[in-house]
Parts: sequence; structure tokens; C-alpha cells
Amino acid sequence: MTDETTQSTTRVATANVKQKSKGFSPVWVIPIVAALLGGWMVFQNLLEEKLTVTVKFKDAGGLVKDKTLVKYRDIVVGKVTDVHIEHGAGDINVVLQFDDVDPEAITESTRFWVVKPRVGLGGVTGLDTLLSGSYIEVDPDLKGEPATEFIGLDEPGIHQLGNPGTRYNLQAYRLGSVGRGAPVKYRDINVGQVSRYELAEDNSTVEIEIFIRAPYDKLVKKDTRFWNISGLEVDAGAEGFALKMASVATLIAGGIAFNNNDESTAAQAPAHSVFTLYDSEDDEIIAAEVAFSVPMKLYFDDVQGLEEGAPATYKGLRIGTIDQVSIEEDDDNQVMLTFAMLKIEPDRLPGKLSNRFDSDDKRTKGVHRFFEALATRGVRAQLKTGNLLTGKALVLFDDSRQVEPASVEYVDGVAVFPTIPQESFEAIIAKVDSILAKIDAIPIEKIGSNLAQTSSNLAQTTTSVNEVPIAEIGDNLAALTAKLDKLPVGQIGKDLAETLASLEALIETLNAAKGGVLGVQTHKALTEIGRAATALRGMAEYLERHPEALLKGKK
Amino acid sequence: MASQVSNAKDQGIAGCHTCGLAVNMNNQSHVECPRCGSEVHYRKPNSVSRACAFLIAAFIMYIPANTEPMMRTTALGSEEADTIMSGVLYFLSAGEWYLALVIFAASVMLPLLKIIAIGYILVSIQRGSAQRQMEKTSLYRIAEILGKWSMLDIFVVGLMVMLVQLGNLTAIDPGPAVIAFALVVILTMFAEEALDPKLIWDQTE
Repeated sequence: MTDETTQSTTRVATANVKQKSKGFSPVWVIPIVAALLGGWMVFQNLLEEKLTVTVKFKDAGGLVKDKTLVKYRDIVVGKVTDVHIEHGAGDINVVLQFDDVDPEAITESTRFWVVKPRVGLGGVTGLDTLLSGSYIEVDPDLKGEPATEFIGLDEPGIHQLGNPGTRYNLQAYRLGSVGRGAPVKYRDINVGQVSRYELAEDNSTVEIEIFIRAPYDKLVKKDTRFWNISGLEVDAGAEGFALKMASVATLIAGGIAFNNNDESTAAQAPAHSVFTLYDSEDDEIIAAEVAFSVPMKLYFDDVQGLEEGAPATYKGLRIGTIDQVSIEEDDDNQVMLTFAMLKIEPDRLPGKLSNRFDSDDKRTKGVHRFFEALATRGVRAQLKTGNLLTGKALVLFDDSRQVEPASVEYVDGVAVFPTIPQESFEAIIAKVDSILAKIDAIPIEKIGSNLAQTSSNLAQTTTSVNEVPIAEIGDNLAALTAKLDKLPVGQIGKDLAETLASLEALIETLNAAKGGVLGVQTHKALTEIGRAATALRGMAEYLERHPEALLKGKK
Repeated sequence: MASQVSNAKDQGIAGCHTCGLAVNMNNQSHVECPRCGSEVHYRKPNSVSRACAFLIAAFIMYIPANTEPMMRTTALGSEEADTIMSGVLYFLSAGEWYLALVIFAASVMLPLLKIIAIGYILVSIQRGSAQRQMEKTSLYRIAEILGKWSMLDIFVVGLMVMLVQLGNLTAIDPGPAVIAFALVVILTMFAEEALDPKLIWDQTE
């Protein structure tokens, strides 16, 4: 053994001696680090408390468990972990799990909706979901208490966070062509949009929710008025025709406009305030101005052509609107009386005798005083056909000279203003008759016979020209001149002038005549008569300048 | 047999790990190689405990490597995260059973078998077992050769992440399991490196 060892020592290199301290092997740090790392990897999902909420949807088409994502502005914030049908209710419960969302952000006012492809007049949305599948959009709101049970929206909403603005509710009689996403305009500037609409619970109105972006939401005050600017509006009233269209976009998708009283310094209306949506700007203006009105009753024998909303004018100024046309029984005489209720709008009265901020009582008294003064001055209300084509009538307050004095009476606090009857149709016919009589009176036959005589004389003259000496011709000429002088040119002219005047009067009268088909026919007749009158006038003028035309004919 | 064969340790000689020079240890456990200056021991120092530490670390990382997603595929807005097993199941359901087999073998079975093999060798060394020394050595050799192939998965993910980046259309991103899996492979290689196979033969009946 020793030999062997010595042998090997000689063959094997001798090592340098090296001392090394012994201790805890640092290699054991590795499994500790691995354990920490692996533990963190595996348990991070379990340790992290994930917020889970349940949303009820009516329609959960395309939602897949563990696959459908929850997104906030296209950023994935969670996923659907369960989809099941709620027994009995018919709703679909969708359980959502958020990845990393502050539970404070998911409050009771948070809204959820399903994003899927939608094609509407306002545009195509959610096209990307055609390929990727539907997803749930969450619209967090920091206001309110945290909640875990929600009801999903049927229609996509508009984000609340990072989209400052205010929501308001409008009530409309009907939706018109207002659609989701339709613009809301203030002085033609886009300031918001329609976020959704639904039938009111009692089905009496349509509730439209609109979203006005900041800072424009400050423009919405308590007295702000909204109206529909959808589509094309053709308005044929007593005042004529009107054609209105806000923009091509609103023609297709509809739209809503709003406006304030210019002086309005009121504070911004609180969110979710309810406003009335008027059908048109006209309606809105009317509504604005009849916000305060004084009722007035007008009795007419005949209210044909008078409709609700027809204007009442004084010397061409609009002072009120017909509110109601109706009939009532006179207590004493057992006679049916037709009447019109008029809303006098103090803001429109000449001279503005009432202030917006006065009490209603004071304003009413001011209006009554104004009309009492009118009545004593001989002003009477009268029905007049405003539009010959449609036959619509309006109420005219006008000075009438020959009337018995009358004054404003008050029945149950409602002023009854004296009226005078409309010019009757018989009166118009009588006028037409007198015109015809005057036309009859034109001595056409006499003119004719005179002409015949003249021409025969002329023929005689012509035949005797060769035989008769010059002097005799002169005599004949003198005689001819005398005969010509006898022609009643003056009378013809006078008659024609009279006829024209009568025709003018007739046209005026007919302008005010009863309308409808009769109106159209009368109008045609008038045009014909007018043309005849023009022809007659032309003839008269020509004859005055060229009396010889009677003999020689028109050159 | 083995008892009759005298080994270098019995003769007080150790081979340098670096240059292979046979060094007379002069009854020391740590010496410096006179030729290249490396440390020379009879056996790799702390071999069993180091291999054990690496092996435990590898086994710990094996868990997230399999439970966490390996690859996140985003296609047209919908995101899908796949673990190794879900990938295997996907290929199975798609009828590509040979692909599923390759992935399962290379990514699930191989690292696990390697951990078990080294663990078995370590335990038997610790218990001083002198049985089946030949088989254990073969096992060690096989583990050393095949273990490297586990990196296949990492390469596949690396290539996919690099190639499939089509913006919104399709994108593949690595998941946390990639790191865990890479660590499993690396740590088992360290463990096998730390383990001195000579220790298998130190025990003689």
C-alpha cells in the first residue's frame, strides 16, 4: 500500500493546499427565491380580491362564459364568468368579474350595455364586434354607493366619466324622427345628443334622455325650451306657407334644438330635470309667449275657417292666438252661439304694457284696460279670411267707423270684446252684380250703330269724292267731324273708369271672401275679370289717343 | 467487483474538474490544481445539497409553469390565454394527436421525469444505496441528454411571439409560465450539473 501511495505521489502532481471556511451553503437561497416567485405567480390571482357583479340583461346574445370581455372605452377591464337564466323572470343574469378595478368606481349609477353591431340611420356602430364577438361595455360613475347588482341597458349609452356634461329628460307627445344619437343643437351648434328614449310608464308621452356636453350644459336653465328640428317642415297656415329644415343630417336622423330667454341669468337646471319637447320651433315660440296669457271671448255668428292656433292681429300686429273655437247655449234666448276663445299675449301688445315680472293679476288688468280703451275708440273684432286658397280665417281688431258704441263686458272674469259680423257673402254678390250692371250699361250697341252709320257715311263720302268738288268735300268732312264729335268717347271712358274702380273693389272684397273651393273659383273668376278690365282699359286709352281707329281700325 | 476496484479517492488522487489533471490531494479535501489553478476536490463539494436545492427550486417553478398561461393569443379583439395543458388538449381535440404528444412529452413529461430521476439518484446517494448503480448512471446520462429538449417549448413561444405581431388582427404575447418553465429547465440543468455522478459509485457493498 505504502509503495503504491509513494508511487502515485511521484507520478501525481502535488497540490497547493488551500483552506476554505465552511458554513451555510448559499445555494439554498435559490429554492427559497423559487418558492417565493412560484408562490406569487400561483397565488396572485387567488389572493387578489376580484370584484364580481351581476348584470341583468333582456337580451344577452353573443355573450359567452369565460370568453366575453368587459370593456371600458375599448380597454379590457374584466370578463364574463357566468351566464345563466334567472328562473321565472325571463332575464339573463350575466356575472362579470373585473380584473383590476377600484370597487369604488362600480357604484349604483354604473351602467352596462352589450356592444354588438348595430345599423341605424345615425350610422353603423360596433362593426368591430362582427369578428371579435359582442362585449359588455361598462360605464362607471363615481357617484353613489358601491353596488353589485345591476340592470343592463337595452340600448347603448353614452359614457359618463371623462365626458363631462349633464343628462336631461324631455317629454314629447310623440317621438317624431328623433333617434338615438340624434344631435342636440344650440343655435345650430352641436352640443349634445339623444342618449335614449322610451315610452313613459303610463304610455301618455315619450321620454327622451339627452346628454348635453360641458360647458354647454350650463345653457340649460329652468326656463329653457326644447323643440324638435327633425325632418322637413311645411307649414301652411293663415299666414302663408313656410318651409323649414335644419340640416340634411337632421332630415335623416332627426334632432333637437333648445334656446333660452336671452336675459335669462338663472342657474343651470339640475341633472335629469324634465322639459317639454315641442314639435317645432313655432310651437316653442308660441308656448314661450303664451306662458302667460289673458283669455278673451269673442262671439261670432259664423266661425268658418277659424281654427285653433290662428292669429289675432291688431293693425297687422299679432297680439294673440285662438285657443278654442266652440259653441255654447245662450241662457236667455235658447240660441246657440259660436264663439272663439282668444289668448291675448301681453308681451306682444303694442307698447308692452306689462312686464314679465309683474304679478299675473296686474298683467291681466293692464290687458283689460288696453282693450277697454280700444273698444271705446270704435275698434271691433272681426273674422277675416286670411288665406284665399286654404280658406283659413284670422281675427282682426280694426277700427270700424259706423258702429254703435259698445264696451268690453266681463263674464266670470273673462273679457268679452265686441265684434262686428264678417262681410257677408251676399254683400259680395251684390257688389259683383253692380259691377256687371255697370258693364251692361256700357252703350256697346250704340257704339256699334254709330260705327255702322259712320262707315256708311264714309262709303257715301268715298263714292262721292270723285263727283263732288273740293268745297263739297270740305263740307262733308266738316259733317263727318261733327258726327265723330257726337261719338260718346267721353262717356265710354267714364264708364270704363267706373268699371275699373268697381272691379278693384270687387277684388278687394273677394280677397276677404269665404274660402275653400269657392275661394279658388272666385279667384279664377277674378283673374278673368281682371284680364277683361285690363283689355277694356287698353281699349279706352287707345281710343282716347286714336279716335280715328274707330273708322280705320287698329293699325 | 466494485469493492475490488480501487478508485482514485482511495488512493488520495483527484482529477481536476477543469483540465482533468490527476492531482495528489495530500490528505486535503480542497486543493488548487497546479496546472490550471482551479479548485480540485475528490467529489464536487456539497454536491448533494446543491443539487437538492436546485431540484426543489425547479419543482416549485414547475407548478406555475403548468398552471399559468404560456401564451396569450389576441385575435380580432378576443383574447385567449393558453397553458401548456390547454394547448395539448386543443391539439388533441383538433385531431393532431402526434403534435399533442410531442408537446406533452417535451413540455410536461420530460421536465417532470428529469426532476424525478435526479431526485431518485439524490435520495439513493443520501441513503448510501449501492444497488442498480449502472442503471442510475444511465438514468443520469439520459436525463442530461434529453433535458435540453424541454427548451423546445420556450423556443416555440419565442418564435410565435416574434412572428405573430399583426397589430389588432392577431398578436401573441408570452405569459408568465414562459419564465417559470424556462427556470424549470435551467434549474434542472443546474441540479444535474451540481450532482456528481461519481457519488453513485462511492457506496460499495
